[in-house]
Amino acid sequence: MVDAAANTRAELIALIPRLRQFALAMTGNRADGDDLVQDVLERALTRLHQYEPGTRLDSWVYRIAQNCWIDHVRKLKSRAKLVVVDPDADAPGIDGDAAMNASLTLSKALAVLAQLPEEQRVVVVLVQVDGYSYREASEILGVPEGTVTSRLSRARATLSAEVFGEHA
Amino acid sequence: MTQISDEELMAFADGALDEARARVVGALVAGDATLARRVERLRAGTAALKGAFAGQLDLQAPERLRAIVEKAPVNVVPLKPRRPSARVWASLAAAAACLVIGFGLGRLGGGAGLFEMRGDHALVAAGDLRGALENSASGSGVGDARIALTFPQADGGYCRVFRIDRGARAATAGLACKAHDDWTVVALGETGASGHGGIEQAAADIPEAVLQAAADRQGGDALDARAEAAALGAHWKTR
Repeated sequence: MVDAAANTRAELIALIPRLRQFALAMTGNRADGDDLVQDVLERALTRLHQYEPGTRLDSWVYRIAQNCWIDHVRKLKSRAKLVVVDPDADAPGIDGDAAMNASLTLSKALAVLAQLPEEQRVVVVLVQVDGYSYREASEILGVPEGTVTSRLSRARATLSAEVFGEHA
Repeated sequence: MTQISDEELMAFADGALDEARARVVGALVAGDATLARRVERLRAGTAALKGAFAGQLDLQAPERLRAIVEKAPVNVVPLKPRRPSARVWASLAAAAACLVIGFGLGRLGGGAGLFEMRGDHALVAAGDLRGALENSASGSGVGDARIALTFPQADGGYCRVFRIDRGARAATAGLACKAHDDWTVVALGETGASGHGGIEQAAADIPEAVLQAAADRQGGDALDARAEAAALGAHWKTR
């Protein structure tokens, strides 16, 4: 019992870096991102009794993160704009001679993500940044796998245009 | 048949197609430079996005965020009160049956010095209550203090529901959890004396505050007699 609880806490701490990355990608800046992570951790801790040991803790926490994010959006929407990007920091997204090796600066990536509707952004972050499978993303978001695919496909068209400076 | 939708090509590039379909699409992509280029582009987009975040994955979580997890109280009480689970009710109903018998045997009088305020203002059990919490099986007790049941906490250790008879009509019920050497009293409430109205009435006699506190902390089913005897024998140490 003690070990299980201590393990869960240790696992939760180990998830913090990934949660911060997720939150950064979703909110567009560190400060809002870390506020989101704080909410996620606090909510997860108060619901630790609902977590079934032996199931994937990360999926469970990401589901909580998704719900916290929805709450955050409501708060953030009352503020000006999601993205805080340094406008001068951006080289164009295209890597001159070889488009296939296109590289993105973080601020450019955040700016591109911020252009996506939230429901598309979260799918892109889960699948492309975090590396979840379509199925895992559908479980975390509580939507059918086909919905994940179609949202991702629409998002990819936008991303491709932004990253490569042309339409796919 | 040879038609590949944008979504399917994307799923192929992401490795999300099932094996059979991936083989079909893979063959088509291999024989079509345009398709191959689109797959490359999809993968490059993901790689670029991943790369943008790659340097951001600080392996060390900031202290402020770590502290939230590390310093959370042993039992984080939900902000909104929960109804006690059916499990708690069932445990209490069963335990109440023991109480009805137990209180019939309890002696009257006494009751002084059952609680103590520790230096840090924690309320801890003392005297007969401490003795009962430490050494009595559920259904028995010391003096006027009677133990109702024992359950494991979500984060380790044990909690026990107790009652203290205060004459024919009144009783105090509470929840105490073992922390280090003391039984910290985490909830207390007034209730009618036990012994009347049967099992359900006795369970209902446990005050709401005590039930809530029990439900908030409960990390497993109430211990049966054998498990309780073992825990008692180990002086409530969980490791």
